[in-house]
Amino acid sequence: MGKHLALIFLLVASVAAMANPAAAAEKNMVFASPYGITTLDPSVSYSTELTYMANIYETLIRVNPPGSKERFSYLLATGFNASENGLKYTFNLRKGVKFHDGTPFTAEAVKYSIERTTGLGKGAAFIWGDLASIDIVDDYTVTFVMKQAVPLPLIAASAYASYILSPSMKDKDTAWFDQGHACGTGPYMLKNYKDGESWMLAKFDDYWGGWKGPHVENVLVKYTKEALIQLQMLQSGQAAMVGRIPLDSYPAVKSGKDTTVVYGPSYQNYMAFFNTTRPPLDNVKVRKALAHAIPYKDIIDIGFNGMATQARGPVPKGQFGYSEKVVQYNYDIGKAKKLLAEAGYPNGGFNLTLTYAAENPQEARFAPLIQSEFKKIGIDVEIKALVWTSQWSQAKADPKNAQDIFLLLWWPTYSDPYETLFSLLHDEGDKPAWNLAYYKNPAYDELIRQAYETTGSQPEKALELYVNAQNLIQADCPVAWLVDIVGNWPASKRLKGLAINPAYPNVPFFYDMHLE
Amino acid sequence: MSLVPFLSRRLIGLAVMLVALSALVFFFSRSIPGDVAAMYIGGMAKPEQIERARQELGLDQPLTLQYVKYMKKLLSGDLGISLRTHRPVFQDLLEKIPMSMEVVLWAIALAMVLGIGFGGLAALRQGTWIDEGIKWLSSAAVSIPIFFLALLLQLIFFNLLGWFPLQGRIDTFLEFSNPLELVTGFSLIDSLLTGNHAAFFNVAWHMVLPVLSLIAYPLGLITRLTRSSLLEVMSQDYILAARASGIRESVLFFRYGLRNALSPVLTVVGLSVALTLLATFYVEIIFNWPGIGYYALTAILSLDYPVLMGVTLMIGTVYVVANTSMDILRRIVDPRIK
Repeated sequence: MGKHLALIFLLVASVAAMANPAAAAEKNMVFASPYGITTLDPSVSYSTELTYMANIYETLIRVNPPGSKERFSYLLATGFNASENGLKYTFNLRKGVKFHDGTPFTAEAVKYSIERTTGLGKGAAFIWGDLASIDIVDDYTVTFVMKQAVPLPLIAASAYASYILSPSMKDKDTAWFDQGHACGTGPYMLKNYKDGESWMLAKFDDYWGGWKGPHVENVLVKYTKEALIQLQMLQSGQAAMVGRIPLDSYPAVKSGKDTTVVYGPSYQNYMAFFNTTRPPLDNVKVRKALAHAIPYKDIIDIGFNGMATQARGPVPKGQFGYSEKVVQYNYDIGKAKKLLAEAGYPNGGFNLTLTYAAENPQEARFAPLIQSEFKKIGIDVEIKALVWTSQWSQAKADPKNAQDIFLLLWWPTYSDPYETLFSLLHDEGDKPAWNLAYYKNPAYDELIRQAYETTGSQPEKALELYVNAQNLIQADCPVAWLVDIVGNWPASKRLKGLAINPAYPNVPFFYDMHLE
Repeated sequence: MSLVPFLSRRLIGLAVMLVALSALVFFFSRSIPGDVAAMYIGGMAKPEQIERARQELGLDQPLTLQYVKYMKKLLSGDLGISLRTHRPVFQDLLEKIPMSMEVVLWAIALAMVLGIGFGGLAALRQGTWIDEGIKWLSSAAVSIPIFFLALLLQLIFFNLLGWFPLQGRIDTFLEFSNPLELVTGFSLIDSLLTGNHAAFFNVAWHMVLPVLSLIAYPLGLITRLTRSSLLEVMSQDYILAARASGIRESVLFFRYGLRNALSPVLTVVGLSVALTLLATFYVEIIFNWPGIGYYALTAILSLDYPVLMGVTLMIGTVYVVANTSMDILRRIVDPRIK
């Protein structure tokens, strides 16, 4: 009998606890996240786990969001200076920093981490391609020697492949990290890792930034794929912030009693590649006609519920390399018809295939808008939804037999336009990877490389070169730049300090947040 | 009754089936267009990285050779590496199987007890409103699509009544105060083992709706089959003879009727285990229950073929094992079966 009473008591107690989840929860928060983990190895990570990595590990410096007073925030470095020829960068390191296991942070850790990343050569390690050596000057000074004058500070601040991990992890491999281990200098430690279910970002007591002032101390990440469940969790107060809710529910969440949506710029953009290798899209006039026939406003209003802006060129607004001087294509159906007529297709009269990634609900929403608009100028578009890997491998196989139009969502690895401009449009020979317009222009290739190597020493000159390069592209129109995405986090109104930094896609910096 | 030849026959059958199944899944999943190496790299892979991964994973070799290599590894218990999580598939399965089996076993056990009970009751009260009601409900339980039932249960018991939680296996606030520590992977057992009573009740509470969703189909099936099988048995001549010789009606029903009627029911229970395991594909997505169904579905969507192979082989094995154990049970209740 006594046993039963104890059980009943426990039951009542746990029900009572359920009824009052807010008690003592001020320092704890729940984040219902759709962002999964593909690897926990900071040297290899190049995917959605960035959302957590950037809270566990730190880079030497961090790029501030556009419009900030300072270009960089100083994390593990307190400052840096460049040699005159732009080939050497010396960083002064922060003193008194500890890794999660207590190991002190020194120049050795910097050398070890970056060399581990380049040695493994996985993920985004390619961003260090121009690195010659890392020289330790003393415990708190380190010099990066480069082969070319590339913008090293941006590379050191990259969202991927630039994290500093503890040298005490020397004998650990990727498999060890993937069991749920981590050892960084960031404000949070990884705990209680249950792959595919949940994990905890727990306060690191010895964080160099300290814990005075209001900070979220423990974040329970509840991995939740379904947008509808994330919405329910947010609205019922079970989660303080979520990653993704159904597009139609944004107005309700924005004006909700307890909920809101935090907006900010993102460097993610959508584009449509034209297959330049065969008729009719090998004709620049036809491509220009199509670029003028795309209903940009409808795509924004219907496809994105207003949460996007019309793209100008390949570089999203706010990122270095963006400029109003880049020619923009606007919706103009009259102009489109005229260009088609000049190209010898006065009433259209041809068919095109368009492919998009079936996993991407956004593309599914706006692809039909393009189709119906092209219909107006006499062009029939066949839309093919393919699983991403299929869409991509078909496009890479043989350009002559590939799609006519390829929809792509893109974002840069680090805060510099070179990688985007290089990957998407440089001559890839007969092995296409990301240049899915199969476009070739040696003058362009030359210009962007020049710009890249000038960025560190003469940013104004570099910008000018980038603008010229982009205008070369716009004149040939191999790609229609559709929209730049507006980033957003649906969240509780009680959650303060949540902001968006487009250089670090989908990273909420929890240390800057607190619950009111 | 000699079990040894029977079991060895079954084991050989299992091996043959698994080989056929693995070949089928391997060649089908690999003939879907898609770049497996690019998938493994993830993100914005560079061409040279993809090439390197292709070699690393042996994807540049002929498909048949890849299959032979896979099977060789399989014999030593190595199911390969997941392309998405980059973790050994075997380890992932070991973690996910208990999570699903916990729900599946509850559903099957309850369906068996309740199904035989309801079926027996309906047969006993044949033609009354109780019989009609049970018949109607069991038909409904068999016909309702599981994912629809799951959504319906969420709508009623979470949205309208608020009695049961929406999703997950434990409340998030408990993860701060009484985090669930996994020992065996069965969360109810583990929470008791670690003396975490708060977690135990919380997990049980979270399990109600998924179990209810999964129970419907086997419950309906078992109820209907018990009823019809029992009616058939009870109309046999030997029952009439027994009744004429004055055996008590309850003894007649339980010892002579029900026991003989159970044999076909047990066959269906074996089938139900495998079917219920498949049903978790829907239920786990809807209830955000991170078990094998959730894991497999993610793998399907990302062409993660080592995982697909692993899950298929596992479900195939469960299917055979469940059927075999039900056959053994049938032999025990009905010694005539050879």
